Amino acid sequence: MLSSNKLNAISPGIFCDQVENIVVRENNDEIHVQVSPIENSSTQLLFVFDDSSCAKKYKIDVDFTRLNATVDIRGLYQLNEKQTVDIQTTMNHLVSHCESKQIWKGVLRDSAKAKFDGKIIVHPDAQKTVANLSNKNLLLSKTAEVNTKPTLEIYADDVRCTHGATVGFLDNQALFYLRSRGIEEREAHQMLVDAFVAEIADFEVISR
Amino acid sequence: MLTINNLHAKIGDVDILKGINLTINAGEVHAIMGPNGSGKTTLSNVLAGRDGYTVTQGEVLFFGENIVDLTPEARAALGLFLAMQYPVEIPGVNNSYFLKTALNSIRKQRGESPLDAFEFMQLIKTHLTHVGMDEAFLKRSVNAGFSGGEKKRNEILQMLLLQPKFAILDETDSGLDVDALQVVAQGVNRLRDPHRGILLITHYQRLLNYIEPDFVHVLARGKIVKSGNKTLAHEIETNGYAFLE
Repeated sequence: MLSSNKLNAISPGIFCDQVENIVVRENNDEIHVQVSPIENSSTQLLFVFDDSSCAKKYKIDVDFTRLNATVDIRGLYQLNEKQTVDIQTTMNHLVSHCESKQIWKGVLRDSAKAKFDGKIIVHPDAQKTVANLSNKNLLLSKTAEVNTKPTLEIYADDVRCTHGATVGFLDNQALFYLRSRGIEEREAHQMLVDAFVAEIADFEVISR
Repeated sequence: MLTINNLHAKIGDVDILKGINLTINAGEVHAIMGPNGSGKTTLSNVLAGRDGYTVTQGEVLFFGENIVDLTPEARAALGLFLAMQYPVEIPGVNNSYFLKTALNSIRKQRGESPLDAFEFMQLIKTHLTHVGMDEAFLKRSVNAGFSGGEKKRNEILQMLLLQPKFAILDETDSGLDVDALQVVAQGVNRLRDPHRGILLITHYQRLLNYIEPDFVHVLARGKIVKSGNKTLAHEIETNGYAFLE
């Protein structure tokens, strides 16, 4: 379980269970995260983008150049007012027997806008690759916007890859159900948002 | 306790309720029966304050106060409870947390102090035994992956916990096997007392074998077309709703 892990704060909003093999570069409003996992390793990364980490653009590249590496990424972006974020992730599977797993969730209020590009590239030598990418978004206003584009580029034949994206509003039936039990609207709202992000927030984070 | 006067309601542009009149006094159990599409579920949703319905005429007086403009949570705080036909699955919301939040929200709106975790556990454990469920059930997400019977038991559990003054059960009996039906009936009978009103909405007479109503009404095309005692339910069981034609 990822939830029992202690993660280190690498930079605002970026947490990892290790400090080697990860490089974070900042350039104006853009943050570039480069991960190069070593052989037989497992790396866990958590991204939390909100008010406190308001870079405009995040570029996250993972290069699998060593066998048997696993990288598990969870990300959450919560934006309001006129905030924007642009997230680009690239899982570059160059060698075999590696695994990348990504769960990204977005909660967008007001007129916030998010752009998510998730690319998985499986090169010809990267047989036995397992790569999963999920991006789910919750829009809490009619003027919030999300543009999500998960893509797969697969050049090997013995791989297991999945990707998917959803964009939706808060479940009105669930909201009514909670309210009909006496839970006030604001709290019911918050319960459903918390439930949506729970998968991500399971991570236990400590600062270095 | 509850008085419905000339209630008209529509969904979008479609008139569903066309003048309902009904008075339920404390201590009484009423059953509303009717064919599909007669407005049974609309009536229960309008009483509970669900979005999507427009009350165009009439009023619903609950202890003398017209509640048609109140929020669902305000109605719950006044003591109204709706056991739903299709309880909603809410993945990620822990059942125990949900039950405790609901109870304490109602207590807060009533000006009562909240129960702490220990007091809540003591209370919920007693009710769990009444609906024949074990504690593991509290750790699951609200209704998520529950069987039909478990969902209905969860409704009854909530009803026992929240101790409403007036409970509406919307087709709680549909799709239940006899064991689950008995649990539901026992829960309702447990709640039955001189200070409480109960409205059973059902398609079939079966539930009424376990919960004996004081009055039975037949709803058809948005109106109550016939009222009587429990023998009316037996007549419907034997002859169907053909007499409505």
